[in-house]
Amino acid sequence: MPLLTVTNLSVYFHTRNGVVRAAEDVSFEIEKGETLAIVGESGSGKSVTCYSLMGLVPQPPGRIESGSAIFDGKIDLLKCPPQELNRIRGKRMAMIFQDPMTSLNPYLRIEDQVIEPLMIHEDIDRRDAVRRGIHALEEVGVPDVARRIRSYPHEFSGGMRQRVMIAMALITQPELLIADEPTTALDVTIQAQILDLLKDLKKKTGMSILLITHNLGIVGDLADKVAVMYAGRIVEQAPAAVLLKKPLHPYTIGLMRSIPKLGAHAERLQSIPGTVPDAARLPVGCKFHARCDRAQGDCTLDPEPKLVEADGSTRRVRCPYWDKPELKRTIP
Amino acid sequence: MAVASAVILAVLTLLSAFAPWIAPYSYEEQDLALRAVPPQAGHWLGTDALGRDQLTRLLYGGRVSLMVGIVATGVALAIGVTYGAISGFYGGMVDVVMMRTVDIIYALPFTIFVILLMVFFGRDIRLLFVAIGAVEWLTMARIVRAQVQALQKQEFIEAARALGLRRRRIIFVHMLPNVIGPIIVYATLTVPAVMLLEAFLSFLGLGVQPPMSSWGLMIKDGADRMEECPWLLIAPGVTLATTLFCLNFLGDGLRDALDVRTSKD
Repeated sequence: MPLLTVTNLSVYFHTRNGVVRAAEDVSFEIEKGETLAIVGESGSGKSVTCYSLMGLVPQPPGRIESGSAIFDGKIDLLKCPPQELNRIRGKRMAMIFQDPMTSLNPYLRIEDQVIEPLMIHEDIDRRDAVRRGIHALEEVGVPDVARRIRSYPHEFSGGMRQRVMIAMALITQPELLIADEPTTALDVTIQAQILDLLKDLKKKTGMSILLITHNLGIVGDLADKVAVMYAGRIVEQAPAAVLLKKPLHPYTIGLMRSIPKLGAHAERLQSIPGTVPDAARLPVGCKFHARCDRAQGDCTLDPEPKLVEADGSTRRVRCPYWDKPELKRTIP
Repeated sequence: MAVASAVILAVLTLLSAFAPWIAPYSYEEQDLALRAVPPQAGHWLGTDALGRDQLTRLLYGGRVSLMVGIVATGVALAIGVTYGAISGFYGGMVDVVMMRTVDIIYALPFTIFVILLMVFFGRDIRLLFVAIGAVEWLTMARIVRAQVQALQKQEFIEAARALGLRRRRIIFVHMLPNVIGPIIVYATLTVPAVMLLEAFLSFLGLGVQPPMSSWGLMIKDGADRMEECPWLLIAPGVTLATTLFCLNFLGDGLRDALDVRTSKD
């Protein structure tokens, strides 16, 4: 039984400028100990998807229109009452945020913030909590913990703060860690350290990770499975190794081409032409047709293509022409 | 600076608190032979038009003025911060109803409001404190609401939610420390405003009644006769000004001390 099963999740924002369909019909599963990476550009709906799992979508204007997210076979995260959700988040399911510079409270000591999940979720006295806090911080590689635990966040560097965030998320030994672009706001060298740290911790604790990223480059390192999102939809879903070796959807192929590669083939870096469509005014038909290099006439017509199984049943792709890479774009 | 201010304020407070024991005369005792005399031996700050000792009245006046300043500001703080935080945190309809209520109370003429209170509950100096506090919290509520709303979008508040914290804990443990700066600044501004309000109400006969005194009342009396008897204006004026300066410095000091980001190291 998977740890988390998300089925047909749709999240809309009802704004003055119309309905923004931030996530549409998103489904995926995460097994115990497995890492799923959701990849996509800004505005593709990947953050909204994980925010809705944590109950963090502001309602209104946001609304979860349909779908379910069954955690551990029993609890529907999208429909359970707030008290029950509060018992799960921070305890069995934790989240680390994109920007460590703003996701720690500047007025509270590191100590108080790191042990907070313990204090509210476990029946534990403060001294033991602090002891575990120190241990958790050592685990993530914060130096000189005994002294630094009394400092405030502004006395830490970005990379150290992200380590603190990770320690905080992992202190209750959650079964699922949601990492929303955990390395985006960090320097490249620090990025590598944090990714190594996550990989280590994953091996050690056996937790599942839902990794949100726009960087396909880090996927191969960490993820077992990948879901590529575009305009609120999953366009391709496959085991990480398979997807990286042979992407099928034209959008995934475009993404792969836009990763800089080191080595002999110093070819020109390619980009995907155009921009992500406005989520309040999505095009008819396939949402990617305006930027696609194999778009055909029927791509511009409703209904949009469905997510279909490809290459046996190991993967799914939302493109009727996934097996025809030789096609040329025939619409203007 | 802040420490020196705190010391001065403490001295003033103690002097006022122990006025009955320290003061050379009684505050209502008149010496008709020595009316409106300038500072001299026996009457260190002179006497007023009715021959009452100015130093004594200053000490007694401090009791009312400082009490009003502290109690009314305390009331304003307690109501304003809680009200503003709730309104800002919940947003939506709750916010609309709560803030429009504030607007309505804002629009009520203050004097009428106080007169009504006095009529219903009788004239009582404690009521005066409450009445002033009940007006001053409005601005505090607006300030706190705006700050809390701004915090609402901050990632660390989202992170706190993601930890499964209760809303009350998010408001009081995670948000209020971040709002403490503006609150303290506004509180130190409220104290003088409140003291002046008290003077104004006393002038209208709604506040402190003669022969009791307050600094505001004494300044008002002094201002009326500042050409003949400047000492009647100078003494309470200097005392009030000193108090207000000290409060401001103390407020600055407190804010710096409480703001972990600007503290030394």
